[in-house]
Amino acid sequence: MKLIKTFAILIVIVAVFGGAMFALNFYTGPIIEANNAGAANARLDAVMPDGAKAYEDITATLTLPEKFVSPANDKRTAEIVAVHKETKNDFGYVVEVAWTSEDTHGSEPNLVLVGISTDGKIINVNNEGYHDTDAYNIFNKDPKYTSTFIGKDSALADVGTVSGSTHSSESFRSAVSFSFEVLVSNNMITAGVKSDAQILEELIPTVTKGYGKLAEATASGNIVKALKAENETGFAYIVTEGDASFLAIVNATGACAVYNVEGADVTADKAAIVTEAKAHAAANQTNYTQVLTDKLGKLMEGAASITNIEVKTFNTVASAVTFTAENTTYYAFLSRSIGWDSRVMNIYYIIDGNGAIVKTDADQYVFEEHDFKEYGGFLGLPENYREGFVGITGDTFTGNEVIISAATMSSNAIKAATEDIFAAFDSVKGGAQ
Amino acid sequence: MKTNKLSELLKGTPSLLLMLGAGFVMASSSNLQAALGMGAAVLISMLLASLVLTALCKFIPAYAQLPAYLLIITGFVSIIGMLMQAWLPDVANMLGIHLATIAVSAVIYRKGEESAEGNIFPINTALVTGVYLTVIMLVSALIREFIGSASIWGQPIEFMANYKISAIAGAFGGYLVLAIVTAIINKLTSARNTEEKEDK
Amino acid sequence: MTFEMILGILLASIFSENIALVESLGAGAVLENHRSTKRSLLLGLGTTVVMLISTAITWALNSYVLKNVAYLQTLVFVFVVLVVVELMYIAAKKLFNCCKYDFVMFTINGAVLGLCVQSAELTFVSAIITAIAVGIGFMLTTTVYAKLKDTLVYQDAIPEAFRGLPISLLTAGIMVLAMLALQFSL
Repeated sequence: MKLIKTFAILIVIVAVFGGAMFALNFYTGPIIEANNAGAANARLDAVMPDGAKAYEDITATLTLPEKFVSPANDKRTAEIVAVHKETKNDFGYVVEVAWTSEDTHGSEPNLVLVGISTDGKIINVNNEGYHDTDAYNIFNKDPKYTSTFIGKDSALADVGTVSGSTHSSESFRSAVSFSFEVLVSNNMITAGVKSDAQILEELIPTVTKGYGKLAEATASGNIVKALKAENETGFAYIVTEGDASFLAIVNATGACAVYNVEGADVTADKAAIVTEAKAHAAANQTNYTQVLTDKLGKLMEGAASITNIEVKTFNTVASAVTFTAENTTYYAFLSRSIGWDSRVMNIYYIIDGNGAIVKTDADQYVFEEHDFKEYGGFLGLPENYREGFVGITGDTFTGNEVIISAATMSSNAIKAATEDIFAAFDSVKGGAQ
Repeated sequence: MKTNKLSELLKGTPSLLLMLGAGFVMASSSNLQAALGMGAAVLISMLLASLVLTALCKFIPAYAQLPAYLLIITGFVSIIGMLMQAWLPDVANMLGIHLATIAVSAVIYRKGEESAEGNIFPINTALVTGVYLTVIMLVSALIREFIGSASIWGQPIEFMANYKISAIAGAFGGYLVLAIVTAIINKLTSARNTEEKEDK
Repeated sequence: MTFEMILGILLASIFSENIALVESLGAGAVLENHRSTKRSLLLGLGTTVVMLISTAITWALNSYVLKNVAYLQTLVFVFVVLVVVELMYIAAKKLFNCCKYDFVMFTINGAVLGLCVQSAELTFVSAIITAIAVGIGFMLTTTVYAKLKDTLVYQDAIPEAFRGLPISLLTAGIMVLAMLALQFSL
């Protein structure tokens, strides 16, 4: 009886307060819903102007472009995740792009939100979820980097990369650029017009390999912009001829290639540009022939008839020579490949006439350097590391032979160097020389 | 009269109440906004519940009083929670689940029980207890937010940015700061008791 | 629900996310505990049973009844806890010689309500496992704390101002530090 009376009283109390809250909910319910919607939209608001906003997810109504894969490196990708339209004030669109670089770890990509106005200009950019190497976090290295995108159209003119974090910042830039793709292809905004110089500059990573971050050098004559490779293995020039602009690449061995804005190789037709570019490079390029020759004397006894050769590849090869030893012709290459912490390694290779590596060495591999131990806890080379290269040819080289798990960045640089000298060797053997 | 009320404030029952309500006191004293929000919620819910309990205590049998009082207080806390979510959503998010646990906090139970026994000034004691807890929370929050988060009322304090101790803003800081605050109260209380004895 | 997940829930609920110490839900019940170690263990066990039964019922109510009236959640959950405790008391009174006050402590324990609210968002199996794990964590905390309190609280070595509640809080705080150490991944 007592129990029943107790429960009866409790039920009455629940009913009374339940009724009161039910009535109150008519008043507070809509306000709470609006607050919750606001909280969910906070991440979209971050890339939109101030003011009251409402969003509609229009992803399903659009034709999304194919996932972007960078020609410079297939680990650099960008993919459209969602597109939201701001409906209250017609501020524009928020595009969510998932992006990766060669330094992205784990299974989750990075995510960037790009706010784009209806006239095709960036309102703001905000990156959520960063999974690249933490030591090269572009947003820590340069907290103002995202602000360089504000106000730009799809051309992203004058938006550069973050020094010391080239991989991640180039991938991030590509992702932001790709965010325009879905809006342009669905005729929601007009694409920005890139200048010829910008198009040609964006061509550089596709026609060169391993140049690193380019630094601006003094231009002259018809050369309107001169860019020097970080590892000093070449120059890239934007050259004007009349109303047209061209890209001229000169490597450290003196070879030159010229491209037009369509990306076509027009070297044969642009002799004047080739001459001017080569002249500028010869005056400014560091000559590594002596460096290679000096090393050669230590690597192989009796090296004679050392002759400089010009290789027609535009990668990390800084010098190439032929020589004879014991009546056999060999080819020697110096590659300046960029490893951990943007450190350049001088790596030397001697290849026989059949394209097999006879010997290799480096002035100092990055992971032999004292302060690398502080970073990776790894010091020194595995046993017989250098000997492991002997006999490898361009056809048999897989790359796995050179990778060291505790020093992937630098050993990948060695892998790239090895690939580059094989490419250089092929260009020498397959060319006129 | 004033001295008696102050003595009551600083010793005995309110300290016991603080022990019983330590959970939500520590949880909400990590920053000033949350502390003020929680203090206001405790004060208002205690006052309203005290009013209703005083009116209903004659109609509810003794064996049903505790669960009845708990549900009445829960009802008021839920209403306050709804109002906070509507007009103070940031504070409501900061308090989170601890707002709901005011309802079952033993501190409320103790006050409710004393109301049922017909103590004088139940509304007064609800007010005193609510203010007491709010002041404790605010003092703790001030210390924890200043030292633990280098801010006051959400505004960053530049010169403290390099000296902040994040642990103070966390779970451990709640216990530490509350221990120090109650030790100070004990000290003040014992000093006052000594004075009263000497006066007599 | 793999073994690793179950183990993870157990370890987190007992140690690194201990409901009374780290989350401060039910801290009052732990701090106020004046019982012997054995009675504290029984109190913890009883709390675990209340948590388990309340979680099961409130989860079902939340999933099927309270979907459109979320604002009634707290009120209904407290009602359920009250009913469960009342029925448990009636059953226990016949089987054991137990004190009503102990059962009152189950009701006014913030950990029980807090757990019910948190578990409402989980799947049923996760909610049940969490309830058991949290209960075990609470039982461990109460028992250890009761044992520590017996030996520490009124010793003369403690300054007068720190006797009683302050030293109890500091003791609990040091236990929290130990729990927090387990939160950081290696």
